[in-house]
Amino acid sequence: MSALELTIAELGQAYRKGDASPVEVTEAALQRIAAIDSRLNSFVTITAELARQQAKQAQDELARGQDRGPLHGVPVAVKDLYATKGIRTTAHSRVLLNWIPDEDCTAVAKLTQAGTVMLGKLAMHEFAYGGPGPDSAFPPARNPWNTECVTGGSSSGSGAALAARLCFGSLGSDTGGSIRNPANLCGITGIKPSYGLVSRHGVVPLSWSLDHCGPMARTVEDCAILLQAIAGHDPLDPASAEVPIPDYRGALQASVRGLRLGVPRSWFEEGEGTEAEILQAFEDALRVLRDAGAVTVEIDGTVFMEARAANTTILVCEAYSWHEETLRARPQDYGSSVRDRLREGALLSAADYIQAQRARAAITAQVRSVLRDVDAIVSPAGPRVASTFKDFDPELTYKTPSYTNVFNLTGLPAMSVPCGFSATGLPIGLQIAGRPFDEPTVLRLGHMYQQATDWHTRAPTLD
Amino acid sequence: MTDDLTLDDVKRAAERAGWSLSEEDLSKLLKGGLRGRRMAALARKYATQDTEPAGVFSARRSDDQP
Repeated sequence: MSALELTIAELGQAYRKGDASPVEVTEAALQRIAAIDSRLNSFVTITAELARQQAKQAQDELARGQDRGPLHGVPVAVKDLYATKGIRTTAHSRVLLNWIPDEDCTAVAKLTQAGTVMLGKLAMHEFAYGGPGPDSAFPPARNPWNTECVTGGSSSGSGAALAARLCFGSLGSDTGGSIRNPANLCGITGIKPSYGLVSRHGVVPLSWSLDHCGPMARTVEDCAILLQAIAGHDPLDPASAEVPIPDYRGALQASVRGLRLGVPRSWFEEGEGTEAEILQAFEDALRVLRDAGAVTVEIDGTVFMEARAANTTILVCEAYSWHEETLRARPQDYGSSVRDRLREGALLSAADYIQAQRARAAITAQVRSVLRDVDAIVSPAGPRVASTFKDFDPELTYKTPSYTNVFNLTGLPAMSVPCGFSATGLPIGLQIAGRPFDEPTVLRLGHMYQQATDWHTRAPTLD
Repeated sequence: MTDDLTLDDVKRAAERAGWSLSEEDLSKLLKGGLRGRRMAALARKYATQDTEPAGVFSARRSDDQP
């Protein structure tokens, strides 16, 4: 088996046993990127020289016994809205095409401190908004399970690169589902942590009060390892929370027996609904969770359905306020998809924004009330499998239900883990959400599920 | 509230914002604007008299404690 098939946890063991080395693995990753990424477009910038230098440094440090922990020497890549010192950071837009930051954002600085090897910057939806734009600065990332299909977004390159075994871990960002959607559609694992757990300092914003940074990887255990490295208070992020950081990886070992899982069935079974094979995969996943001792409880889905309106209103207003001046001065530098969406913010009022924030307070109180009776909320991660680029309709994204954005509105931790495949061979995801800052329970449930299933181990055929 | 947005309103908003838009762009913006206002109107349903927004900016509240 190629070392690129290993998880972060396994790679760490291989390094310490002498079965693999950071230099060899980094070189293998760079070769694979060179060989297949022209079909996926997952990277917008490859930092080969930096990667080789960091890999050599990690190898030398490990040889000297200077062990920085489970990420030491692990090749990663980050969404191209994380500021990286001396490396172009574009947010996939011509607006920032020539921006070379003077410093790393906090999350990347923490990854570097943990000894990771930076392979490069990953494609995304322009400014993390809109769909895969045909006229953005770079081509859209393609789904490794079927390159005619979209990856989901906005952390599109992260989903594609992880599924294609081009990197071992990634950082995405999530304002309405942008970590969980590509995790879902590309068959990988991604967690949007609680609001304030991971610093947003140095990350190009979309909507300040909804933006979350978080890890994406192939397994829950790898996400726990990455989260451990990047979580924690940062005085440079005004929304950063001062909370204790538990041992996320250690928490995976606890039993899920007796945990109560709320199932808001009316949310995803009524109205536009969810594709039948996704519902089937979800029911199968519930069975696995019950077999492990968790208890499923039906809960009212009404409040979850209503969250989207407030989330969208807040997002549109906040995004417009960040882009207002540039939209006026350099409209031609935006792709048409994101430009059209951003302009809609000019048509909403201050009262619309405040009313949406008031609605958010009410919805948050209701969802937290639900979480007094259950330990977690489970649902499908999305209503549809990946569409083809040909069939992708930006208008449809407004009409299709979203199962992710309620957890941005409420700031709660939520994760997508692979739970099956469609008849057409496309991944299906399970969403697990929890109480504020209770990432350990969310991760524990996901890890138990991955111990009992093998969906997360499957890889697309690209060679 | 939601259907009171007209093409003239959109033109005025575009002027205020300093944009020079084609008729096609204005029509597209009108459609998006109407959709946005419908969303905002839906959100208002949840903004009850006794809710105020400051709490949403605090990630940790006393009722989060286990």
